[in-house]
Amino acid sequence: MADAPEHLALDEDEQALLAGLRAGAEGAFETLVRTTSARLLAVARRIVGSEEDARDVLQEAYTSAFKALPRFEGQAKLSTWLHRIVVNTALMRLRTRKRKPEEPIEPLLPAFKDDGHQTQAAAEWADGADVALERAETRSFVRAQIDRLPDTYRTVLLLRDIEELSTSEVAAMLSTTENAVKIRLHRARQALRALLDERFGRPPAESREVAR
Amino acid sequence: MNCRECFEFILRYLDGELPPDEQSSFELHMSRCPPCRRYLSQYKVTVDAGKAACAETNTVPGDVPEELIRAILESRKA
Repeated sequence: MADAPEHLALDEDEQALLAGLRAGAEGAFETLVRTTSARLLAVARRIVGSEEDARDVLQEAYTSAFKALPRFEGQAKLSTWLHRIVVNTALMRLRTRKRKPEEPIEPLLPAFKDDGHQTQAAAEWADGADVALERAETRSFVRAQIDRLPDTYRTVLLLRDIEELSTSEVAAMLSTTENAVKIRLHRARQALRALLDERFGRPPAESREVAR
Repeated sequence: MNCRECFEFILRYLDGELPPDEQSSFELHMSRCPPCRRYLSQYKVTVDAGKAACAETNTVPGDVPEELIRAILESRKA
């Protein structure tokens, strides 16, 4: 990429915006919120689920960010910095609230015999899972399956695969090791794969007539 | 490398983190084991499916309620 490395510089617009924020200019704060809040609200929604909680998270995150502005050194883009604050605030919200009982993840993971072979091979998927993903209804189904994952795994999947944070960033946010993040991500993907069988799996020949 | 070991290595394989000898063993097993090959393919589709499914939940400017924006801006003055 031809862009300057993120840590080296904010672009001119961001530097001007940052100067305005530091000077306490009302317009600068309004610009910041109006240009970043839509994406950040979506991030909060994905992590905490409910709209009400997501809005609370967004407000709390911006309040934290405003207070932390004097310590923002411009080593990342403002939007990246805000994104991390929202993710952290959302994770804190998850920790403090009661969640519905979670399904255990183990039944969704592959099992093996003593000789190292799978107990039962994964079901074949019908051709064109990628084509199916072009349908909004399929994408909605996939999101619902992600929501079924236990929080421990769902959050790592969201942070790594969707929010595209690095393994080390996620480990720091969750106060765990990079290896633990990798293990959770792998299990989360494996469990999601199993949950997608329901939609993508090719029905056994004898039951095709009753399959959707 | 057997099926169980291959399954454990999938994430590191896809991230390009396997040492060359383990990568070769992984690929050799995959070339000989259709169920593992199918699983690897489905694993990749799963990752892509998650990304595709969540991408559309990114909202666009205008989706944030005006009262929330006002509340955020007001919170600075509190």
